[in-house]
Amino acid sequence: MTARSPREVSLATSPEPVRVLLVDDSDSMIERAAAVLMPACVVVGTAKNGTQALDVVGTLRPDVVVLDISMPGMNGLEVASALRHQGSSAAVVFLTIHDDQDFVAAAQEAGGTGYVVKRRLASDLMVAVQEARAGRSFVSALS
Amino acid sequence: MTIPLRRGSLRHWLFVMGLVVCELVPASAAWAADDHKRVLVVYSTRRDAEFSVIGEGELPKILDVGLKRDLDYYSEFIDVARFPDPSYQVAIRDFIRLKYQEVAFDIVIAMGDVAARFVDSNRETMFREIPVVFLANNSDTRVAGSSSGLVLDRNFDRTLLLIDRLQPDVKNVFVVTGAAAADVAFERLARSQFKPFESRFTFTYLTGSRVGELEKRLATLPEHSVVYYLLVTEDGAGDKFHPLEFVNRVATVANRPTYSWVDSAMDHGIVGGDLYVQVEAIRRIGQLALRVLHGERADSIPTSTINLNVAQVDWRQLKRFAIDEARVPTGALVLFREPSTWDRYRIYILGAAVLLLIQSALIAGLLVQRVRRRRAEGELRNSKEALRTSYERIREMGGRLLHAQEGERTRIARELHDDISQQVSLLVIDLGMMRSNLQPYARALTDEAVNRAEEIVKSVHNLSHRLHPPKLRLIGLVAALRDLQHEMAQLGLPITFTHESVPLPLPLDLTLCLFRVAQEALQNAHKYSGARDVSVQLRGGSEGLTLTVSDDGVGFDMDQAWGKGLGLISMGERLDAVGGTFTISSRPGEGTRIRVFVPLSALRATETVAV
Repeated sequence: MTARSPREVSLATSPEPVRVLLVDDSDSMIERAAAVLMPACVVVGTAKNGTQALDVVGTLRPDVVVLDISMPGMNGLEVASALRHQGSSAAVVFLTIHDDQDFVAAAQEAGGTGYVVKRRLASDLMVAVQEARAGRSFVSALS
Repeated sequence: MTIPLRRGSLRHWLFVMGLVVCELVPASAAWAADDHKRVLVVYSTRRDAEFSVIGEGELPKILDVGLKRDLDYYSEFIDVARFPDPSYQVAIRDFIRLKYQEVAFDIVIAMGDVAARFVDSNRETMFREIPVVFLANNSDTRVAGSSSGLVLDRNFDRTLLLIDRLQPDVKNVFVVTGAAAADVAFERLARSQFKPFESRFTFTYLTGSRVGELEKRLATLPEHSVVYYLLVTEDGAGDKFHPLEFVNRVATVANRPTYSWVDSAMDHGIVGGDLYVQVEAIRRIGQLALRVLHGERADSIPTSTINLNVAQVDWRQLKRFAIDEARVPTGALVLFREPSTWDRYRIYILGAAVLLLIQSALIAGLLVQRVRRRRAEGELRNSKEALRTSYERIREMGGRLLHAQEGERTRIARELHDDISQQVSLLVIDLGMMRSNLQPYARALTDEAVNRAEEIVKSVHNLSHRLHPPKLRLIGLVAALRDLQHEMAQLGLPITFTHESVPLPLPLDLTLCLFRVAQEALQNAHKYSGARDVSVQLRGGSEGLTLTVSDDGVGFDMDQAWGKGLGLISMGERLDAVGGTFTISSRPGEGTRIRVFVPLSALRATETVAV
């Protein structure tokens, strides 16, 4: 299984744009995420499930992995744990539909740095990614 | 003592006079005045002759009963058979005269020709004016004076008819008689009576033989022969015999059947005969005597001839000589029949048969019962088996149903969550992106649409959560139970939830099972118990995992509740499926405690979920 062809976009304002790997089983969601992130970040790759992501993360060396939780096969929490076990240095930002504190806690325990609920993608994702890149945590406001 | 002479006392006076006279007159006159009846019976036979014995047994009884007053009974026996000398009769006469000179008889009964002649010839000297009744063998016998008699019609020949009936093949009749005068007289009578039968039988008269010769002869009689015993009181050698004892001899030695003419010979070895019934003769003469004693004049009763014969056979002798019993004529008496086994043991045989029948019936009944019982048991076993099978099928179906339901709920929940929520989230995102490029009015509309879409996301999320909490799969049992705790709190039921040493990760089906059991228990507590304090404990141990849900509600009657609600059944089913067990303790008014235990082995399934 190979990753989708990366669409590297140079960030004019920053000599070193954030390298992002987008992992979600929904193409539309990847598209929206890429659209939100793109001027500032480089989407080095996308993956439709956890296994794919784990396969390409070593090669693509993203700074931040944007990770969905509910996916077929391995869920995002498991993927995050696996990444940590693999020794990946990429920060993880969960992009999920779960608007729930327990998930936030679980996400942090799994090694997540940022937590963005999908409906707030437009406003929060970029911030979360940048904060993650800077080693800071960001969590969307939960309803 | 002065007795006043009054009217009516004359009778008294006469009575006293009478008494005085009685004291003075000779004794003979006194006899006439009292109530005693004096009877003299004179037999023509010796005292121990059968006829005498029967007479002495019967006559006093007959007279006593018939008279209903005191009876003076006297009897004498003239044994001319053994004492034929005329001087014997003279001596007897003198003896009787002397003996009874003081006795005034009311009647004299003469038994037999000899006695009748004796009375007749001594009428004037001894029996003057005494009524006489007599029993005679000879129709010429008469007694002078006031007398009446019965003449026995002695039919020796009628026995021949019986012989003819019983033994049609008999040709020879050997007639046995003795040498005494009476014996010879019998033979004479027999000869005359047998004359008409000479064409049928050949008669041989063994008269006056010596005993030894006679016995020899009788032992070697030719075929088709019978013996006819008439009377032997003395044999040719002059030896005297009791006629009945002699019958025994004859019947014992004879190689052919012996017949006779008198019933006293029965039971002495004879086959039978048309027999003169002596006791009947005694009864008849007794009745005649009673008539006279009751006042009838003897000479007013004419002398009559009577026939008292009855055909009789001895069953034992029929057997001895192989004479067919079917030949015995109707009306003949068959005596001494030895009772057959049937006759002898009929009661026992019938009893045993009845018992056997009852027993058989009982046994049959029991067997039928047993067969029925076995059949019923078989049916019961079959139906139990069928019941168990169908119960197991139902359980299996229930299990499958639960599984299917759970699967379907999971599928729909995922669908809702992963697809619809995702789509609506995309809608929210797109609307949000569009928003910055819109006019204020359109922006306001977009905001409204975003809000609505977010509401939809929330609703779908809730619906999905209710169907199958994604947290269960993605985070784990503790988090899911905590959610449940919040939900119940929102419904107004505060719950204490504690967990300790819960082993991780747990198999997904086990997680789901425990969650559903807790959910069911809490819903029951909420709906029915009215509990104010509910606690949920999840505790891992060295043996396994224990989930306890207890409340302080109203509780329930286990027996009644069991099987009514699907809740308890589905709990059981779910736990069965994962290898767990559960116990419920509850009593009305004492709350409910549900304890679920899952052994360690069941916790080590392959399908696991993360925390």
